[in-house]
Amino acid sequence: MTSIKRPAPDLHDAAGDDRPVSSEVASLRESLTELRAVVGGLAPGRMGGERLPAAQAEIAAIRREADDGVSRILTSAEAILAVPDAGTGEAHTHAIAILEACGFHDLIGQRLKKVAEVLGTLEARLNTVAGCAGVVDAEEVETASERLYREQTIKGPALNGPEVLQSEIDLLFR
Amino acid sequence: MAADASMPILVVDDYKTTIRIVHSLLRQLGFENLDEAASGEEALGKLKRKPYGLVISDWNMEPMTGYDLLRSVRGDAALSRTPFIMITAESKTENVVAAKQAGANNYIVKPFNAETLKQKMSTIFGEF
Repeated sequence: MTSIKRPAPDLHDAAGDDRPVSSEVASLRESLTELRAVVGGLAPGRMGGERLPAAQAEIAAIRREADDGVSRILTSAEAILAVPDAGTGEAHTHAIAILEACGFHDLIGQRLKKVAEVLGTLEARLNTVAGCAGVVDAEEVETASERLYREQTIKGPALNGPEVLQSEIDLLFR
Repeated sequence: MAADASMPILVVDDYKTTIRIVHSLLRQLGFENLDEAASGEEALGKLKRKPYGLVISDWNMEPMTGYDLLRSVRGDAALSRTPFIMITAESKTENVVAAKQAGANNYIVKPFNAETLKQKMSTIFGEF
């Protein structure tokens, strides 16, 4: 058997950098620490585990509410068209226009599906990053404008809401 | 081929809303024998059980797309002559070309109106 003669290990890198290996390792460690801090700043745990799923839930709610709204609009337009002698009058023309306009729902649904797929991919990848050793979500530092937004703006409809029923509000005002 | 108001028409779409819209527009055009399928597979099953005078199908469905359905219809000797209109949000030229090459009789881009639907049907059945 022919033995392959291996060159002696070179303590300097191939590019001719004459820094010793210990210096390279220290530099690498520093880079890794910096990288972990940057990745931690993205808060992959919170982003992938909480915020993106919340955004997905909002998209699902948009689709449900749009389905419901369009279904009710269609039911009314169909009822107008079903009226005997609706004929070809103005009401008929407008009812057809309503039907045609409801086509937006399909397109919105398809676009939302694309957005949801992108968010799903991002969520999966962030969860992978969050699972990597040494990556810890950084403490989030809220800016003044972010705090103002959080404290003062109405956050909009609750998922599976409303949180407080009108009947409960009415009871409070009795 | 003349349009027969009593011919059965199969509308295929995974969005119930679109089926309702197309059905309502078809009724306004005088067609009452309307059926629906929520997927390509369901449509193919219905087509094999009963002859239809026209299929109006969406492209974007899973797992069997409208394009797959079209190819299956054209590849089946018993169904191959069924008029087929693709009605979809896919408006890239290559999609239109692919549908035409696969044997689609016409192609409607969403959103569309009653006049467009009537016009495309007229290219198959003549004025009605």
